Amino acid sequence: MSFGGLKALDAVDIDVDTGQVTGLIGPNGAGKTTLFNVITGFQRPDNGEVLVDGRDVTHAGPKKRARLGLGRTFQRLEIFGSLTVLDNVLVALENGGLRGRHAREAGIDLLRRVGLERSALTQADVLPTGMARLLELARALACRPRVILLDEPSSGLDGTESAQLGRLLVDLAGEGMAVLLVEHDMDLVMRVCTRIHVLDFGRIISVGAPAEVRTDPAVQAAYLGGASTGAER
Amino acid sequence: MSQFLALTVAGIATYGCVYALTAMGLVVTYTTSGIFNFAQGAIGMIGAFLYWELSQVHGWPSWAAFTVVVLFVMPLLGAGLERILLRRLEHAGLEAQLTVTIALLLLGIAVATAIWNPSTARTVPPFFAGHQVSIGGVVLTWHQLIIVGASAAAAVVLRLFFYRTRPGIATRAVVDDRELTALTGAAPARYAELGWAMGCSLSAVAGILIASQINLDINNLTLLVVNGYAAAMVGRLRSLPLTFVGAIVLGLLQSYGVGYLPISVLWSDLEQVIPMLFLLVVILVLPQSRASLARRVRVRAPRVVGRRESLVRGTAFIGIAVVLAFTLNAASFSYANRGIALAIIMLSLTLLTGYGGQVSLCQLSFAGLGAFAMSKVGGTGGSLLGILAAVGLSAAVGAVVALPALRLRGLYLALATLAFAQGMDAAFFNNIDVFGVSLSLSVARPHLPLVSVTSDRRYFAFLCIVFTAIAIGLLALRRSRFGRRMLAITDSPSACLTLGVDMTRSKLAIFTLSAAIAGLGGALYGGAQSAVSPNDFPFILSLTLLLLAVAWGIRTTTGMLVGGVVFSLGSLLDAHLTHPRDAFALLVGVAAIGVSQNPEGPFGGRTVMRMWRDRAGRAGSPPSTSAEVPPGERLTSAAG
Repeated sequence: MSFGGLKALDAVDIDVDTGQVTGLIGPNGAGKTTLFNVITGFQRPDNGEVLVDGRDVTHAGPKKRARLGLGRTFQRLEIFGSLTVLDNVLVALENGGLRGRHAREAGIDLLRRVGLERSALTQADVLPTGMARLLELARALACRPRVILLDEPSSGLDGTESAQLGRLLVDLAGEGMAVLLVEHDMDLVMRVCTRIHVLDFGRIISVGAPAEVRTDPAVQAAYLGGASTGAER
Repeated sequence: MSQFLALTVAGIATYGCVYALTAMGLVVTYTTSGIFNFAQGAIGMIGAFLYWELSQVHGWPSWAAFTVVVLFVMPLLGAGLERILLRRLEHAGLEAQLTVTIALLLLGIAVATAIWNPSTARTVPPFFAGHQVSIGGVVLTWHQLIIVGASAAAAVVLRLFFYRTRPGIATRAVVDDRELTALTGAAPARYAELGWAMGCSLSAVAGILIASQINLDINNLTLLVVNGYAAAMVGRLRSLPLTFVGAIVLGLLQSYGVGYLPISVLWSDLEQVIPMLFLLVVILVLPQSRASLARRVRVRAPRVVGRRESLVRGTAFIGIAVVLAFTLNAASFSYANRGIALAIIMLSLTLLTGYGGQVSLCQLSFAGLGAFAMSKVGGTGGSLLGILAAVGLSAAVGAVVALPALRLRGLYLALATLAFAQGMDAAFFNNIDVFGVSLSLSVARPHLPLVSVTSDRRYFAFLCIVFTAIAIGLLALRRSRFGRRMLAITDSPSACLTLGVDMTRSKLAIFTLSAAIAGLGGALYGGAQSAVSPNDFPFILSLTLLLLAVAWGIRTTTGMLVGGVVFSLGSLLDAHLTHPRDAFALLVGVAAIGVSQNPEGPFGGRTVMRMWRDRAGRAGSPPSTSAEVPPGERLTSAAG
């Protein structure tokens, strides 16, 4: 993937396995969001392929990929601001074929899962950023994705909420979902991820378990700047 | 061969180069301010009239009048407009941006009509009248040479400005990313002001130069320069060289078309139809810019009225309407009935633009089709088949217009619908095969099975009931599954893609249903005045409707009622006020410009009724807090 002469992503190879949370970290501008866009079909790669369950979806549009089980959230919020919180989730559920009372019950369940059930009837565009991100997560889950890509879901959350989110992600993986997590909150990443990929200037510079990545000198040089953990922002 | 040469010369020197001037002005304003100036033609028209006033009435030498208008008055006007009105709109929604420049267009026409009586014939002599040169057997007047020279000079100067000077380069940076350029210390606003000054000046040059080739007529001049839109689209509103080429090609097409094509009934007004076809083709054929993650604005949606509340309110309104039907004096019904019928047509805008987020400038064309179908099928008895035909015909045409337009977004969709509306004006409404030699069709009021609604009073009550039924229906639709999806698509197309939502089908359905409502409204509008003529559906009136709708809250059904009533009061005002001419248009223009002070409409997207209730309820409760998101994050949404 390149923009003009700049290679935004260069020979990046990343596997997201079911049943675990895979982390993707890297400094700002490393290409994390671009990679998300390539995987979900919002941007076309110059070469390379995207496979879901071994099926090549490189030439499919975002909508087709969504139907094949790819779900995502956005770093810049993409909620339906003029709808209520519950309606946001209903749009996704109803698109999946649920109707009436069943849809509403399923919607409330999803909101409860991310801790938004008490805001169900609030208009979505007055939600604070953190809660809006959780709403995006609930809405993405409503499509029952097999792979879910989360772009900084914890930004805007406090410590307790962030810990709850971490537990939710582990639960989702436990249910057989493949979770790809882009996150700046290192505590969260180190706690929930089974494997972590580190991206810098469009290249994967390190892959491994949290402990390995944490001590990898290349990662420390490129990203952590010597400090072992800590929120980067 | 000599005819071919003559047509070529006319195509380039008379039309092409004038279009080039105005189109380049359009590109300059758009690139510097990000706002598409619908009023470009009206500004050129004002420039031409000012020139006429100075040179013909006050006897100034033509060079002095030209200099004063082009180099002083118009740049000041442009800079002033930018500074006072448009700067606030940088982050406003597309409807608000369109509304303000459309209001400027209408205001320009209204001001000119008030100052210069349209029934007086005026001519502007060409520069160096009588002088001409012959090149290879083709005669060129000095005036034509000046047109070619002026456009070439403007092209060269602009090119040098944008590529060789510091402000020019900064301006191009502003186009690519305003916020980023602002971070480097440049001042985008200053360049926008400069851009508007240049744009207005160029359009005045175009207006003055073309004025001597055609009559100095307010509408003609305004619309002629509208053709510059088409050329500017060839350059995607960005590229000056492509814009120039587009203008020349359009000028030639028009010239050859008029010269060679047989005068057929359908295309009786080729001169008008060709630019519109050209614009449609250009918009549809040129690749769309990456659209899935575009700049987008969220505006607070008004609260959705519940089922019970909308029924109660609807019943109350019908009650009031029935009382009014018995008490209003007989003379007021001709205004009141038209107003309510227009309110029904405007409901189509609530659906399409208010809920669906698509801006259409051709709703009145659908209304006209509805009236046409009612007249032809409904006959003198007003058979209900006519109503069915009206709904069916406008829905069908709406679907056909929507199909190619679905891939268009925002401004491009608005321009495509404008092209369609103007094409309909020229090819359909002003066609004697459609409206007869008298250009008038009688339209009967519908004949209902149980109760007659043909008297003025009963028709008024009937219209109010139809309005209420459609409004309640729209609100129910808004609360339904379809409504949720519709708003989701408007709020975030990207998110809809990731949820696998089929947007094409929903958009097509919205556009078709909206056209059907407009068609029904048109049939009833025809019944209200028992005959329709082409003058009832000029595309300019579609613009007025949009302005009224936005001003009174395009996302509310009550807003449309207020808009319709205001419209009928306006016609009443015009009927009783001889000075200034077209007072209502002046008022609408001024009111819509008020939108620029508050892009959600003067009432913040709320209706008068709701304002009043809010005020009553505000005593105890604090105002609701807005989201805790920094403004920049909410306003833009671009790919990372």
